[in-house]
Amino acid sequence: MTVLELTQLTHWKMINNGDLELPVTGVYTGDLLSYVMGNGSSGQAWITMQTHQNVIAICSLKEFSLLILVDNNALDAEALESAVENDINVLVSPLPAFETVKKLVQLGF
Amino acid sequence: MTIKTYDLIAKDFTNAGSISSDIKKIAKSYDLPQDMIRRIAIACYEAEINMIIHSVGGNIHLTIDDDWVSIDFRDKGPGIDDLELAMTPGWTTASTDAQSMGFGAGMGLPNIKKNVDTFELLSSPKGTLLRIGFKRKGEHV
Repeated sequence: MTVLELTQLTHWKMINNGDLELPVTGVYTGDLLSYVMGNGSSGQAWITMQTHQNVIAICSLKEFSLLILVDNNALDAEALESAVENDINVLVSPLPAFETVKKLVQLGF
Repeated sequence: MTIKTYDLIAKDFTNAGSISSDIKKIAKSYDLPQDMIRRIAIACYEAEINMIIHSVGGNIHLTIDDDWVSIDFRDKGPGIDDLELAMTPGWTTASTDAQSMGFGAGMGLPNIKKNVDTFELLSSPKGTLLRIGFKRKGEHV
């Protein structure tokens, strides 16, 4: 599934888009950044409730296909600016983390 | 061959990760194996964040030659009190503020050690030197 297809199927709000044709190879959930750095893999969608600029640095370093914020959280202003600069796909789910994950499982992840 | 030095400013969370991103870009330009680039990115990010959270500032020095990718993280203090504790997974001295941002999981140094081929850590109140190396030829130890 591509990022574009995932955004269409979830109807979650896209607040920045980079390459929407990137394949989403899996999903990683976590808010402790060292665990995300150590255990996430490139191509995955990353679900988190962290919204500061460093999240974008991690997306870029790990080459995640997509960042999904939960509970209607928005990115901080600097983080959004950085997402734009780095072409990071960012989606906002209105659901809490568990329901967000459940939705992605329903979609086949 | 590449030799490059970056200045790192303490508590500068805004730019955290930017030096690691640049090092990763340079590593990619050398056409290093994908796995090595991944390991370099993880180790550099953790070390850069450690310096931002804990040190009073310092610099990061990258050298790439035919055999090795070597990176030194040198700060000007205040040093690590207990190196053995610092290497223990889950141990952290990060502030509550840093932890609320998702830093300070106590996995930084263990994550670094797991991903490098050589690891040296020296510390005194005057400063800490973390020197990590990735061998371009041969196996990941």
